Amino acid sequence: MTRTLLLVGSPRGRLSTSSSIAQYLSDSLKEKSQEVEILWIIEQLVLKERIDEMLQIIQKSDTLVLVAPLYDDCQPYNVTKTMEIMSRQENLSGKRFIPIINSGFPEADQISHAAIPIYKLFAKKIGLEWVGSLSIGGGEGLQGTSGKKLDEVGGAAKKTINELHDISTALSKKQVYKDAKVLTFPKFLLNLTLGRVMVWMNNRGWKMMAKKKGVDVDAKPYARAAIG
Amino acid sequence: MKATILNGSLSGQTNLDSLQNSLIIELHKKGWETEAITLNKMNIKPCIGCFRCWHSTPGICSGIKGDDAEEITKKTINSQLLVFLTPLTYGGYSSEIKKIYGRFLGLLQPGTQIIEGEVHHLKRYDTYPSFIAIAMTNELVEKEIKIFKTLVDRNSKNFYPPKYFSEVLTYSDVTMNEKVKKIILEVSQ
Repeated sequence: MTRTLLLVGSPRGRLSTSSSIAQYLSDSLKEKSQEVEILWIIEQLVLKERIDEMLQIIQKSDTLVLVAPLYDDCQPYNVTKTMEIMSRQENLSGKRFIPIINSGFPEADQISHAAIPIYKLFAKKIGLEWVGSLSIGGGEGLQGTSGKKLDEVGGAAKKTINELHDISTALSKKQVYKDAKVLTFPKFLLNLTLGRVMVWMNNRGWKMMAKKKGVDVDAKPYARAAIG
Repeated sequence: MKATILNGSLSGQTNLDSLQNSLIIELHKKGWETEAITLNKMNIKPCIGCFRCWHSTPGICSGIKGDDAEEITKKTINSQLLVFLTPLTYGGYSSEIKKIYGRFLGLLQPGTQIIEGEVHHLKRYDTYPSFIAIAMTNELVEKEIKIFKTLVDRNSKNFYPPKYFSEVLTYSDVTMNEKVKKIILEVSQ
């Protein structure tokens, strides 16, 4: 049996897509009699004692799974901070590492351009064993902020769930997974015409949401004229 | 023309100072007005991913109040040049840069458009600053340089700079001033 630590790197904490992915993977690993713990990084970075606690749990774990969103083409602040903290630690060498990254953009490739190479280099430099990665395009489709569990989402979560089962199997058997990409919706929706329809619907949705709150989604509050 | 320089050195580190000084000298030579901000000395809280800057107070972060991020964001969008200085962190930015970068979300509009076959957010403002990102490291490793340049290239697709440049230098690079001069010459043209 191995000890697996799931580190959730979403700034949204427990009510996030990253968290719902981590919860699902945790359940799947437990079904395979694995010892699993989840830590939400934003809850750990608030106090030195909690950072120390996180580092102790990292030290005790055989496998580290980072579940995080894509922010500005790479890691969110709290994950970068954790990477900096971990880089100053000794004895992390040999632990297995796998990042599971979700992006609001529909294309999983937006994750694999820079973010995955950054995580891979991080793993190499601090001596972690890279056992694969999962890039999830269209992560908002997993509805993590609604509080729904992945298996309550329906078809949009199907491919992600399948990959999480494969990750769970690989981790429990101490095997290497792979570097995989999934989309939360059918790939044909990314073609030019349907893609434009999706974009139009998305833009209309944001406009309507802002309008309901009595605000203008296109406001330019910091334009020179606006701030005088 | 105004340049905002965001120094992303970690607390207690001063090894980006010579690079910052070199930049300021070269920018002044080309007539730029400069303001350099050492991020670790400011009160900046990280983005909490609430999207209030998109749907509740468009363009303004109202999820976090009372820190220095709003002022830095205003300065950034009203500059013609934004410079990130960072210790190279596994091919990416330092946590100090990431902390403020996350808070720039409201500079974009939440809607999207397709650019070169990829979905990206819409501009909120008519113009955005040109962008220079310079990372410093102890040793140049080709793979890490490539990651950094790819990251800056990706960022430019989302933040619409008229021009952008990326460079990775070693702390001991004796040609640093020449390299900085070349970048400033190009961005000033």
